[in-house]
Amino acid sequence: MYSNRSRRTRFVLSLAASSWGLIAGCEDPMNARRGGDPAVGPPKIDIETFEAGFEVVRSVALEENHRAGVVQPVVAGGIDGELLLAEPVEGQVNVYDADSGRLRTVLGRRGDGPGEFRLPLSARRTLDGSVAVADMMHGRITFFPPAGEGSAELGAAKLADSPVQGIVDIRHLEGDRYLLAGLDLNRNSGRFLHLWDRATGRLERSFLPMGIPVASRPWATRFRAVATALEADAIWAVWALSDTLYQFSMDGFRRRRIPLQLPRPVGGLPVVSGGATDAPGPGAAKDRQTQVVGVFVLDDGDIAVQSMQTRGRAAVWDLLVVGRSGVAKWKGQDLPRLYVVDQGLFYFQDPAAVSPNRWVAARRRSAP
Amino acid sequence: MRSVSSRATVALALCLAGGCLGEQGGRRSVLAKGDAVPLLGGETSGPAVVWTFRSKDCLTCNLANPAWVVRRLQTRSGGDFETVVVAVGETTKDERTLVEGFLASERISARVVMQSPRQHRRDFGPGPMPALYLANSAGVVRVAVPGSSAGSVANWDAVDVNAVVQAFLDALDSREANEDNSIDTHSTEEENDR
Repeated sequence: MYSNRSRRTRFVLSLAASSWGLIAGCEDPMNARRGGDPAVGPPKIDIETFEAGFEVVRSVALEENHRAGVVQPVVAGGIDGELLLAEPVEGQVNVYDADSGRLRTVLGRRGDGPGEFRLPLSARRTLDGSVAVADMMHGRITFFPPAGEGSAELGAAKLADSPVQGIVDIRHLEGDRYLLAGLDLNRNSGRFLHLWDRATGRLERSFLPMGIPVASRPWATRFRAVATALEADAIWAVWALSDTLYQFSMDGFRRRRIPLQLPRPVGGLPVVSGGATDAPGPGAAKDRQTQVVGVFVLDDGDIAVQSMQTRGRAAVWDLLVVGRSGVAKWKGQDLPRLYVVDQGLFYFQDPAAVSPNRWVAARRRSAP
Repeated sequence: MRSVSSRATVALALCLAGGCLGEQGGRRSVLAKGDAVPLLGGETSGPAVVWTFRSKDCLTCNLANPAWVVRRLQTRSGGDFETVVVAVGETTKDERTLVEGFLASERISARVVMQSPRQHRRDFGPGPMPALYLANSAGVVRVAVPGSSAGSVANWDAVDVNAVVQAFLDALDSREANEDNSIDTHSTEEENDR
């Protein structure tokens, strides 16, 4: 018999994972059934298209040992040539040297105490060099102090309850101000982005509404992936089921909407009427649904948007690069998964490797 | 040191003799410490971690905690044991592919055994699922998680996974996990020899 708390926790986890592209294929247990083609093998990569768009600079083999392995990472660039890998299924954060792939340190471990995680979906450096980790299952944010002696110890971690129950990401804007990403389940505001004052614990403003027909919302709320990229004075954002790129001011006011010509469009969403959906089945409905899962501001000002579709527990990954005006500059289907863009380098899953700790760093080729 | 063929003979005798320890009146009781895991008979040359789950759970998040435990054990023990996954459901090729795809995404290396629900109930009894068992070289359960209470679904949310990993590692390090003459098996062997 589950307690109320554990039942709620399980529900949150299933929703979180089902929408998060990196944990592709994780379904609501009550609805788990095979649809689409869950039994297919690893999708094929279109190497020709990949090589037409990118030049591989070097291979990156991320170190694995008894403390850390790469399983289903959510990656962010850090400082001083580092990569931060939040590992939701491992319950820890691994910090790597981007050049050598050497494991610099491990932050946290699986559990419920200070410095411990259940579902860390994001780890990012703050402006003072601390590491902020968003844990969706715990509904809290953990801050590890800047690198230094003892900074990785569990006791050094400081906790803050997240005002957003479905938190998937956190970014430091300035002072005590943070950008939280995740569907606000507590207040049912239907908004994905929130300005949070850490000092007071209050949300200043919530924005980026779901923006889809009401009839489709019961189905669409399973998709929680929301991605952001920061510039000096702007927040770029995409939500899983919206083929629109949004630009907001640092105060959360919308400036621009850029329609995206995704390689595989999001398409029409199923509608729910009287408790029934016109989708072929919960499992099948999610499979082959295009989800927009990443946005990256490039050195030349262009914006790269990554989208994906699940294929059972695997996924196919697409990439679109648009200019500031919204003009599509490059697009490709069936590419290797892009983990992060940092200092002009695109870090892709190595298309020739199976293991998720084998990456390639690549530069975008200039247009002919 | 008993040979592999000898162990196979013992295991075969065990199965021929009525299935296994823990069987009561033709119906298997919940698999618990001291019981034999029938399908391991003669097929493993050392300790084994046996992970049972419903194959359809590969599409859910129900396996997150046991997957973490198994992965951590494989990482920390350096492969000193065999991992056997018993996936319960339809024993079709598609279902096997689904299970193998799940294990690959979790970076878990294991031998996969597909079982129908009926066969699984015969072998493992009406125990919880998902469940983890550490069996010694003779295929006898030394540790069972989450306990041996009957029930259709195990509450892994309440399981301290760090403690589980430590308990398994301790058991693997102990002499008991590696020897193949545990009390339970030995006594049964004697009975079969008569």
